[in-house]
Amino acid sequence: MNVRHCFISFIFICLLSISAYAEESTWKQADEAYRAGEKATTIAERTEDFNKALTLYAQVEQKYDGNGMLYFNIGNSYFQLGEYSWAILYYYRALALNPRDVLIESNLQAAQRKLGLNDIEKKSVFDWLFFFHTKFSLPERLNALFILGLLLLIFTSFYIWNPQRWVMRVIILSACLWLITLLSVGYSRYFSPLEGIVVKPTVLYRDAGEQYPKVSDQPILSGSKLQVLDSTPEGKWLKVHSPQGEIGYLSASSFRII
Amino acid sequence: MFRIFLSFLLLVGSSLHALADVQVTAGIEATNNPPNSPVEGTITITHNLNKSVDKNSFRMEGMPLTTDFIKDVRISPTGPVVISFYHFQIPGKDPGLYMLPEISVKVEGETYKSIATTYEVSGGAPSAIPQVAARTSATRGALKLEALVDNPQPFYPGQHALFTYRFYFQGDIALTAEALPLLDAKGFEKVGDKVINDSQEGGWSVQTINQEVKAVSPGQFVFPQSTAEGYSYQENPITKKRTYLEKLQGTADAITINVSALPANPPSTFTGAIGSYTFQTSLLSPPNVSVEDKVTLAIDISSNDSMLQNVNLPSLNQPGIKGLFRMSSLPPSGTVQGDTKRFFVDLYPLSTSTTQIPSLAFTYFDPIASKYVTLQSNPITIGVTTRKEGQKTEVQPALPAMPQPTQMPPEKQPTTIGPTTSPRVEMTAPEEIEIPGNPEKGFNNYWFGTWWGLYLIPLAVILLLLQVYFINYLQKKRAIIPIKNSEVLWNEALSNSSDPERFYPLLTKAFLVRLKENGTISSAEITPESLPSDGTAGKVKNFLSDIQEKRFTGTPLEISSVIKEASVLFQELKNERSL
Repeated sequence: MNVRHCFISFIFICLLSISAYAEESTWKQADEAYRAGEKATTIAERTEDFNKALTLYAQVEQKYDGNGMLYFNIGNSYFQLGEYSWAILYYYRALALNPRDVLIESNLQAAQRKLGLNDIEKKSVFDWLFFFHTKFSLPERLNALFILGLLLLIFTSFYIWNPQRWVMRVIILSACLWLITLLSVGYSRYFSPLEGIVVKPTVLYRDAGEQYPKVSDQPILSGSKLQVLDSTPEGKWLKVHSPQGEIGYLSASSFRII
Repeated sequence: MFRIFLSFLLLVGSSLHALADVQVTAGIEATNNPPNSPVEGTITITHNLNKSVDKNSFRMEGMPLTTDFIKDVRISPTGPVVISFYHFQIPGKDPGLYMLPEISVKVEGETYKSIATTYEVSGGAPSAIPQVAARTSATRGALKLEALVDNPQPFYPGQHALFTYRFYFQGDIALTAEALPLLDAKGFEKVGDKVINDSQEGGWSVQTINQEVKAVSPGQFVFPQSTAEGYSYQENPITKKRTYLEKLQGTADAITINVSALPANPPSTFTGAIGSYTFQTSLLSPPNVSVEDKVTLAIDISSNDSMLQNVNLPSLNQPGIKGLFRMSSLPPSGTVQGDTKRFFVDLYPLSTSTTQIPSLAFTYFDPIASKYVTLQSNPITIGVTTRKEGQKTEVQPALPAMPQPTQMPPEKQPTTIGPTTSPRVEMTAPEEIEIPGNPEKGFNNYWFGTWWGLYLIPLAVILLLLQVYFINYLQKKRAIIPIKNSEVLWNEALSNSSDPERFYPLLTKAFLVRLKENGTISSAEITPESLPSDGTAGKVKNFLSDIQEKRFTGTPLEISSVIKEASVLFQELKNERSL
């Protein structure tokens, strides 16, 4: 490896470190603005601080997508600003990455109460049976899949060179766990329903357009969680399944995917 | 006779007097209407004198019908019943038999309709629709296509039009191809599905296809020629076999529709309404409320001659609303009742400094005057008092949603931070924090928590296969028996001299390998009988054959003498090799 390659690698590592440091400092500023908002003595001050925190969190989100704590902080900021439907959206996103976090669940329920929603999801037998599927986030399961795969590789290699009964048992156990994790990850990727949150109250239409009759006169409240069944080719209208069991279309502008 | 006539008059008069309902009839005056000339018609409305007829409410096929009042005739001088006569005109048509559709009119707010009738346009140039010949087995069929567009003039984006195709046909016809560009309505937005009606006109079967559309953008829209092709056929009633007679084609000319652009720079309160409207607001809830109590405002938009379904709620983001009222997040959807569309808007006053619901503006575009018209409602005075302790509030839905968070909604920009409320609200102490704050945690990513980790699967498979292949290679290598040289075999034979079963074969093998090493023979995998008979090979052959013969004949062999003799011979072979 020549000196030039070493230098380029060094510069690359430095840039990565600087970038990571910049994101951390932006996050810290956002946290400070949030805490300042909590301590504010007037509505105007509070609004200003939480707005600032939201701005900074949004900057971090653009570059650091997919972090459960970040989504939680954004959700809290929206909650403090009274934007409960957006708060619910981000709480769900945070729960997807941190499913065992009781604090996120508690704040989500607080936001739902604010909107008069009662979205307490009942657990079925399958939730209890396949607890690992719901209790562990997708990144955690992917991580476990990788580690189990690595263990499987190591033990199988060992068995090839030194066949022993106890090694075979460990291989079988690791293979079973790996397969279950793979099925869980595969289900999440290909079969799990696509869900989202209504961020703007809307009504369901019978077809993709406002000129079509409505499914019901009752609007879908903001903050409601719906399952997406289909979308129009240009993506402007989504076919959804409502909590009341109705199927209809709503505008994509009033809906966000979790 | 006179008594009979008087009784008849009384009977008619009383019958008419007893009429509590309104009757509308419409008909075409002439029996011989010339072709392509306006057709004159008369509408008669029998109604009570104190019920007024709305002269602007005449409609035919949903479109406004212009009428001229002729006169009112009272049945009797003292009776309340009166017959009103109105004159109307419809465009001229080609000779043939036509249907005059139902005509509706409003009398004292209620809508009444006439019964559809037929009329004939006769005479003049040869009819475009030929007279019906007697139907015989030789009748071959005919096909004609007509394309029509019914739109207001001038035509603006947001207004509706009706695209119509009429298929005129005689006989049995199987359509094989059709090009109907009006039904695609490119450049327009379809309103509902197409409506198909079948009727008879002057011996022709007519299928009418109507599609209502809405203009979306200004411009000139050219719909090319429409065509329909098919074959007339005759079907055997018993065998159901069809005999195709001749090819038929109907065409309609290309149609150009001009959609005019609305004047530039519409007022900010313009929401797309086109026509002529009235606008007013009214308070539906008590005017004296507490802070954050609901106030319900009704917004009524009325029109006699314009479509109300597409009239939108005027924007409430107007001075005097924003900052003083909070609105429900549920979108007010308007309901159409008669000629009025009503919106119910819920407002929540934010402070006691709110004293009125301000005058709201509604702007529409008048296509006749070709200008925007803005109407203002009257302000409504309300009284807002401070909320008492313990007074409950409704659970209010959240404010209307903000734009995408990653794009930083304008309201959330740092430069516009701060609510635009009155100073009293700004200085108000905020509510208690309801949720725990942000925990101090940093990034928490899993190094292998991505889909890239799945690449381990093929990598692991390759590694394992390589190891298996390598193991097999090593095992194969070990399985090959190494070729021992003659010295090793000789020593091995001597060490097994006490076991004749092993000694003699080893001895034989040692000699053969030695001969191969000497180059006397090419392979050591031969029997002693195959050895050459001359030279040292011959000696070895004789020696080994002798031993073999003695062994199989049961002649006792002394191992020591065999060893002695074999040693001499073996040494001789060694010496031969060294030479």
